[in-house]
Amino acid sequence: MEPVLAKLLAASLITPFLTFWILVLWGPKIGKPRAGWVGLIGGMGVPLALSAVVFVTWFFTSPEQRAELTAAAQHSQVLWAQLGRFDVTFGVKLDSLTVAMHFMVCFIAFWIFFFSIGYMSGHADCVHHQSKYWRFFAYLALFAFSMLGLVISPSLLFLFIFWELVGLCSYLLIGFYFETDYAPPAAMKAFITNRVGDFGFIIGLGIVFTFLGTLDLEGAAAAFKTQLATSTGLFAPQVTVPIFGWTFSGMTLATLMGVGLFCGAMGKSAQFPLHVWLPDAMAGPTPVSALIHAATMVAAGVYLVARVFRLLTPDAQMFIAVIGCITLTFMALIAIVQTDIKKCLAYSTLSQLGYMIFGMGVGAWTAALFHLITHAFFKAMLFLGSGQVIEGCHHVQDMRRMGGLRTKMPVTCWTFFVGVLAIAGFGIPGVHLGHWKFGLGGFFSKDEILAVAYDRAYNWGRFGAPSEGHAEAGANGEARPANKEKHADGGTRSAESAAGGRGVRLAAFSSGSSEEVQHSAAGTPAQKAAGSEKDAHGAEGGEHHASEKDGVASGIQALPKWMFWFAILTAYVTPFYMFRAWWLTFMGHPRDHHVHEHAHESKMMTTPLVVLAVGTLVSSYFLFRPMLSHAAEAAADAPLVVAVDGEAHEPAAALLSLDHTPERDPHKKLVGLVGFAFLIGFAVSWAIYRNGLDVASRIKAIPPFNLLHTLLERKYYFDELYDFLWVRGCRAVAAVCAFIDTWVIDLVYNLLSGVTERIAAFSGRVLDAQGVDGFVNGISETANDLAEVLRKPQTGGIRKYVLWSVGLATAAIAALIVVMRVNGG
Amino acid sequence: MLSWTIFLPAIGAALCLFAPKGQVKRIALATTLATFVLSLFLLPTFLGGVENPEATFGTRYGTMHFVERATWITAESFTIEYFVGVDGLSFPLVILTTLVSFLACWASWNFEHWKVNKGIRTYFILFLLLETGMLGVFAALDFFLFYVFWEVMLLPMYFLIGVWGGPRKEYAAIKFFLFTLAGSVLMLVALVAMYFQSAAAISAAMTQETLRSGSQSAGIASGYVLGKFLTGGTFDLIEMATNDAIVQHFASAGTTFLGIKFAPIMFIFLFIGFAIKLPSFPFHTWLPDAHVEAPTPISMILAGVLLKMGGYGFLRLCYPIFPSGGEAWAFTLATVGVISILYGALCAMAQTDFKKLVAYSSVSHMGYVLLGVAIMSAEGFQGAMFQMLAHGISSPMCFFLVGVVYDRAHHRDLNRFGGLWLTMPKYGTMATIGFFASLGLPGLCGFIGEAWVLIGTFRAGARWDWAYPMAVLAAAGVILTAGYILWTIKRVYLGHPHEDPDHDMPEATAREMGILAPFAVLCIVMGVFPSQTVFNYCNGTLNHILAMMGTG
Repeated sequence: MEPVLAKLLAASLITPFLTFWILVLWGPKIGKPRAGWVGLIGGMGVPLALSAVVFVTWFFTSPEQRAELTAAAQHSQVLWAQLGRFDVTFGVKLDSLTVAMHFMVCFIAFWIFFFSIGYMSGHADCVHHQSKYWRFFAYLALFAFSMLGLVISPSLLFLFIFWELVGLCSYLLIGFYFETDYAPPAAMKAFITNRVGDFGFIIGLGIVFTFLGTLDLEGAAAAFKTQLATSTGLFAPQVTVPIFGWTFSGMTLATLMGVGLFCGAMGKSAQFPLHVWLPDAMAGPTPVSALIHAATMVAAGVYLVARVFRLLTPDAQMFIAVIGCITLTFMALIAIVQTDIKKCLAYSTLSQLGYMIFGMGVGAWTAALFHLITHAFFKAMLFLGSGQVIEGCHHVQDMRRMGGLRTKMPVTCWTFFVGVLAIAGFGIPGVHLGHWKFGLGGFFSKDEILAVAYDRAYNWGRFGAPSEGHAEAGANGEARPANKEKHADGGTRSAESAAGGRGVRLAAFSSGSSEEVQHSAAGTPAQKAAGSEKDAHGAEGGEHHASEKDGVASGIQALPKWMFWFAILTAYVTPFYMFRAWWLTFMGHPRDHHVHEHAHESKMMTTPLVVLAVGTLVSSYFLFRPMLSHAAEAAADAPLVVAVDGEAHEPAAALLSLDHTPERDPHKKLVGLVGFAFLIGFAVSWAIYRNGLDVASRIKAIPPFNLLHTLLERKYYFDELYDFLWVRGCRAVAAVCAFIDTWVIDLVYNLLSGVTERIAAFSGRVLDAQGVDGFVNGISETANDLAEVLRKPQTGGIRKYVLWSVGLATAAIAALIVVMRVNGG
Repeated sequence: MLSWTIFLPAIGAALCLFAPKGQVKRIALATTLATFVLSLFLLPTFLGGVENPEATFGTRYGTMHFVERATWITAESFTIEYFVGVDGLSFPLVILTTLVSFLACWASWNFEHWKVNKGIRTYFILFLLLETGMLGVFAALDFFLFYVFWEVMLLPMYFLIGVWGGPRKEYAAIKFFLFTLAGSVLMLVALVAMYFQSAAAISAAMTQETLRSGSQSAGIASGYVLGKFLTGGTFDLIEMATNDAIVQHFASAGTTFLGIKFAPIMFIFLFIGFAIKLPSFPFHTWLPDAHVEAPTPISMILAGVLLKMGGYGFLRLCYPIFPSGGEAWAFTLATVGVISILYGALCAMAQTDFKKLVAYSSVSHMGYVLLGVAIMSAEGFQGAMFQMLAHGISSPMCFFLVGVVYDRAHHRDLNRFGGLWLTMPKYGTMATIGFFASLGLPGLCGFIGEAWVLIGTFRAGARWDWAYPMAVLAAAGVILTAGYILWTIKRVYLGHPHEDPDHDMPEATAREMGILAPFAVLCIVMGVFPSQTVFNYCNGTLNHILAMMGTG
């Protein structure tokens, strides 16, 4: 059974690819309803079936067998091409993360494809007698191929290749209504903004290949670890990389590498300051927005960061956290003032992607990916819901013209409500049955990210013990002295909680300013008890890894507190703007009767909504969370940065687990901080928006709010700024270059030829008159004859021009030969 | 057989001379097709390159296949040979030439509808002669023969642009001619200088051997071993690169030309000659003019094959014979390469003439070739080679795509097009493939070359510090490229169709699709299977060249 799973994943690429070509070549012949079904079955049905087999098998495979399978897949790669002296191989990366992502993508994509058939059926897709129906499904199939390829890619190069291909699909699908005025610029903006990110990605790739000597993910991570330990390669003291006056070496070079790779993620996951393309990308058909611009492709950036997590440095990680934090906060604020239902969801997506990136940045590896998956479910559903609304209302997207749609679209209304609850973080804290807590997916995943952020901001001192023992293991050799007070404080607390079990490990290292303490702690019965709590697997390497991890943690700064509070603030903003959208769309009185009268639902579209709503309600926590925990063991085993497990149900060796001691339990703290944010958001939006925008417009007339409103409505003027800076700037430079080409470079050549002509004419006349040099004349005669052929189309002046140029060149050559004879012979 | 491939077009040209006028284009097409098929017979030899590299590529540089060698001109002091052969360097380019020539010939089939549609016989005769010249350049291994073919190719091109071109055809043709000629002059100087210095090298070696062994016959015998030429130097390109006596003499600091060290000055002479052809900044200004004025099929040949002669020249002449020159000029060359990439892309962005835009994009793309060879590494050479072939497929395709709309609209103003995806969907699909290949989208042919060169440039940072900023700047080129290509697609293919009462835009004809389809297929196949399409055939030879330069 060994290679079977990897082969099944590889096989899942084949049918979408074939489907794409079938639809491209014979799409018009297949016709309108059938092309959609071909797309559904070939593009996603078969991959989903394969994926389900893999997922179920993997779910019931023991960790040891999984490790074997991973290794087997790693070794059965095939040679693709040679890059210099290095082999570039292609294969399948088979681990828990791939399996989980693959299944998630297949499952959601399948239902979105399904939805699309319904969505496109009522679509006026015939422009200029050309049906675009089959194109739509061809693009979707190509996207399925590219996205699945991205997920299974074992090397950074293939990640990049599929990365660009999903970008192409995004471009094609945003520009699907290419006959309009708004779609083509939006498509272009998306692609070019992504290319800006890819510029950084390429730099990252270049550094990885140059210093780590491979583009394979596993190989690069292993090389990174070795080089760090032995101070070679990337970390060799003599290596310096000067770029425009900055010199990078060692840790800064590694940071540059990490930031470069992250730039790719910034483009694809639309992080500040490359976020500008995603709202415009809503120009595409709504199923596309659901699939590509909410659930899967935009999350690829997070996936990339997860994949290269082991190559990050503390500074790179902090950079990621800052970018994520800025994005999640400021994009959420814009969402409050949007009146277009899709734009509102787009800014919400930006904000949620910010959460994921922020999660990666603070080390909540598992939680960020968990949020990626829960978000994919509920955001896909929200977008599909909005698609149903838009389709039902005959392409009205303006929430100001909606209202009261609950009567016409009950299924959409309540599934949308489920989605809103999920994104708002609905859950009843404290109510749980063992590990089975009460709440929706979004509640757990966001809670985990915030919990880790809290720990990084407030409990981190206990990790940051600057002791000699850890300095070696510690990241850059110089463990940053963390807050001394905190350290002492944490030390005592940990000591107190030593009996609690989980606190023990931390106690050993936080208070471990001397080796003595460490030893004594390691020998306590409590420690042993803690060990026995874990399963056999964890116990073996667990302690060793844990000590390493704590050492790493001690080298990392605590999180600036403002970042935690920004995330908390956004946790209040999110429910507010999501409930606002829900109130405006479905509740209240119909504001536009024309729209309201036409509104209707269709079975093809409500079925996926219900399926995804059920998925949001039940599946994500139990199916994906343990698998991600398992994935984290290998994929987050970073030598320089830490991954923190926010829940620590199955503590993995590569993760630090949160301190669940009663008085410092971050989850408990968060209950008080944001536990009821969804209720507050619900209530406030009810108060303002239950009857449309009247109250809101009164509020925004009040002085400080009107300015704020304008600022948000203009999206902080980023579009204007970029248009001025980049678009116009670039065109201006281009114009200058074109000017130089014509009026400087060419002018020089034209002058040169003019002068040559004069000289030739002069010397020719002299030579002619004297009749000395028959050679040149002979050549001239020949050229003259040649020029006769050209007489008709050419003017006499030009003929002469050629003639003399040829003559002069010949004479020069003859002279040179003579000179050479004398010199060389 | 190689000679048959080279001269078959010339035979076809002779046939055209006597054939009835109506049959000329059929004969021409049949000839180019036959040449293409014939050239495919070279393929089996190179297919074994993966399993048995020794048999295909030999153990060192200079392992040639299909060698034909005969004394051509003997004079008192020199011998010029007819010496042709192919190795991993020239083989892919020969195939590219025959293929692009065939498709360009087919693209000429609407000759009757051209504005200047007189002289169909002359046109096709010149076209076929041009093909012979191009094939000869890639196959020639004797420097003099190389030079002759170089000039043979120049003249038909001059007339093809100058007679059948657009409004400013004379200016463009002469500019093309003079630029290339200027390069040729430098090349000729190098040719002569290299000849005499090789003679000096061999005679010095013979004298040394005579002195060492004390017998003149032993010295002469060593001369046979060393140079095969007793009385003078050699034009043999392989000999010059592999003969130890010549290599040492060329590289020695004592060997000078006009008081300057021999290797660097010769390298730069040859380099300028080829850089004009490539074309690289600042010698590129002939290209936009030539392209804009040339008829579509000639543009295809120009972009698809002629530009590759520059890159081929670097790899055949400059680096194997003067590796120390490459070392000395690496920074300059890489700088020029990077400027070409960025400057070409920026100039392309500013154009409103569709064809001129594609022409400037060639400058930008060929900049990667220059950068790739300049860094003198395996990644760079492979990337440069791939980029040449990829550009040899994608740019003729783009020029033909421009030609198709020009035939319908009779203008090339980017701002007056729009919505062609709607009115010409099949053509639109082809255009998407062609332009995205040009953009360097992974999965299509344009990506591999760029990626290899960029990554190679980063790696070259280990040797030269300046390579890092170069790599960063060159990487920025991908943004600009995406910018101008997507902007073009937007202006021409997306948006509303322009309602033009004079010219409707009918879908591409079967002939047009027949020309575009092979290009499109190759764009995809080369992007997906870079080894099977390119690397397997050329890496062996490239590695040998690198080994000679000591930078393996």
